[in-house]
Amino acid sequence: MANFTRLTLVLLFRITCWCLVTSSIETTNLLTGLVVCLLIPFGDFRRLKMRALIPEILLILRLPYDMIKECFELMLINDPIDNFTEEKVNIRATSGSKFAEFFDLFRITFTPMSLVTRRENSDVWRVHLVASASDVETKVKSKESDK
Amino acid sequence: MTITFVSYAILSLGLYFWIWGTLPILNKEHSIFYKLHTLTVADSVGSLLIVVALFLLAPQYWPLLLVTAISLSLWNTIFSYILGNISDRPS
Repeated sequence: MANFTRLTLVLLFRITCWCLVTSSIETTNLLTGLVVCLLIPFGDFRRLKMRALIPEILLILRLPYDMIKECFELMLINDPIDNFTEEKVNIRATSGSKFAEFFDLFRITFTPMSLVTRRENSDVWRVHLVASASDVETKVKSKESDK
Repeated sequence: MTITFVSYAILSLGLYFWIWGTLPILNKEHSIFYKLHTLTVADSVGSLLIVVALFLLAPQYWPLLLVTAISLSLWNTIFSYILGNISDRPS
């Protein structure tokens, strides 16, 4: 039953793509799309991990807000410097789902303030952030004065 | 009337992001990574805002505009990652 659900979801996804590209939902077009979708090899759909995938897709819905917010944050930085950090790979992405891994990378890189440059190891992304040189200097000075 | 005004406002914001994000490419003082960040503002955010504005102006083309938005998002993000990855390789 689980495999049937997975197969149905793959088919629905393909037919949605077909209808969007052809921008038509006429019966003839739907039937043609269905034939094309069935002809394309399905691959190993049994390994599709829906429990890992659905929360990742839902998190993408938050992106438009983050995207606009980070645009203005980036615009307010007048003296940019490179700042590399390490970010933990999402727990769902480490569960073996390639799609969840891709969505995790997509979410970080899509917003203007962060950019994944590589994967350090199976648990960590190397992420590039933009920092303000004056802010970093102020932080260093305050740390030194604390000592 | 209101929709037209809103769509032109979004279109203007998208164009502003495009210009702001593209100009730093000419500045030799900025690192390649900073340029990739500003290009995200131009290519991803600017372009998507322009697509949203076009959707408000011509909603009958929504399937094509949706495909455009998805393609732009995927292309820009993957291209940023590839360029970032190449630039960050230890020499």
